[in-house]
Amino acid sequence: MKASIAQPALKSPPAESRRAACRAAHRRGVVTLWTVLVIPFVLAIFCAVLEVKHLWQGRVQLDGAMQAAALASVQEWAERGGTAQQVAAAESLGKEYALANTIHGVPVDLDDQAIVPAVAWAFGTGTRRGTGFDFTANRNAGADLTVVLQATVRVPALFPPIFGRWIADPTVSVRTAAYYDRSVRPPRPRLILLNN
Amino acid sequence: MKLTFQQQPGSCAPRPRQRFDASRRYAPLAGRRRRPGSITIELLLNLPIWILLVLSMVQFGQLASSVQHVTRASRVGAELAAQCLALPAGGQVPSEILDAIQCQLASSGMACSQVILEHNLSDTPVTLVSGSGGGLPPASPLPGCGTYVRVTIFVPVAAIMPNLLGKMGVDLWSRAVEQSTTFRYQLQARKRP
Repeated sequence: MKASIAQPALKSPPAESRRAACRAAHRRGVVTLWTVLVIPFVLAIFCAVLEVKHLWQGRVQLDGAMQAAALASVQEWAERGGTAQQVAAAESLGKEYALANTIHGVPVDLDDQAIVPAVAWAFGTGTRRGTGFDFTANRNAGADLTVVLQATVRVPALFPPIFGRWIADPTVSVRTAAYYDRSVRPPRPRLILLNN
Repeated sequence: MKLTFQQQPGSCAPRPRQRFDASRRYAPLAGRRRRPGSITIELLLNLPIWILLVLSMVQFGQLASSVQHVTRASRVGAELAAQCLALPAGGQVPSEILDAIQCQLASSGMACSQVILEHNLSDTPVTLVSGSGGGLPPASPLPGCGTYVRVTIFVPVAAIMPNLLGKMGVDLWSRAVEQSTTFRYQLQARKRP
């Protein structure tokens, strides 16, 4: 059986104008539609970028606070003799100098678990090797005093309603080391780079 | 195997053609037909929103980037102040500290309007101020023991970013970015309480 397919009739002027009208009607409002759809997406990306920048800024400020704490701590430890009995006093003074610095206006309280969930102090000696120092934990060091301080801090989100729920607890972590340099006059603490 | 296709009787039969009455079915579209340039006009109407969005990104992106440089400059100032052999008990911030801060900021194309240096080398707290701007030291606590130095820098927003949104009612040029760093003074024996 030969099936005959009906050929479409020549486009009549009403059909052509109908399609043109439909096309025009569909095109109208497409820019506004795209604007409405794309702007929230672009804004969300921009807010995410600002949020990461905010987090990095918090890390830079935490770095400053940790350096102040480590320098103050190693200086205190050295001036008191550099033995295990003075570690608590040195740590306490370091905490005061961390507290005097802020992250986005919030003082860095190393005793506050809500702000600083993890903090670790290490007292020992630093031995120069290459461009850096090797650290050995020793609370009765006496010489080549070195303090290593590592902390993880929660940074308050810049856009809490948007990203506060997505990024549960944005935290930044910093490790810094300070060495009490007796080879210069007057002796003074300085920041060092650790090999280990 | 040969596949056979069973034709339903009448399935390929051409449908009876109906007379198309455009004036009746597409009457609502008749008035909106063929308007060249409507998308262009729509684009022009939406353009201010896009411009505002892009300008906001540029402005706030620049601001966020610059705050980090101001933080580093305040740290440089505090580090230098902590190693100064002598800090004055009154007057202005020592010029070497100011120069170090300005050098650090100048590397990022900025300049500060005011620098405040606080210290307690002479047993009593001292505040040294250089520049104008009416800024006050931060309210964060100072260390209770030991000799400290705290450097606070004020950089006007006008020196950080262009005032792109000023005409649209978001004028940040009258404000200043403030950053502060506290260090222990490193060249003096600890004050025993």
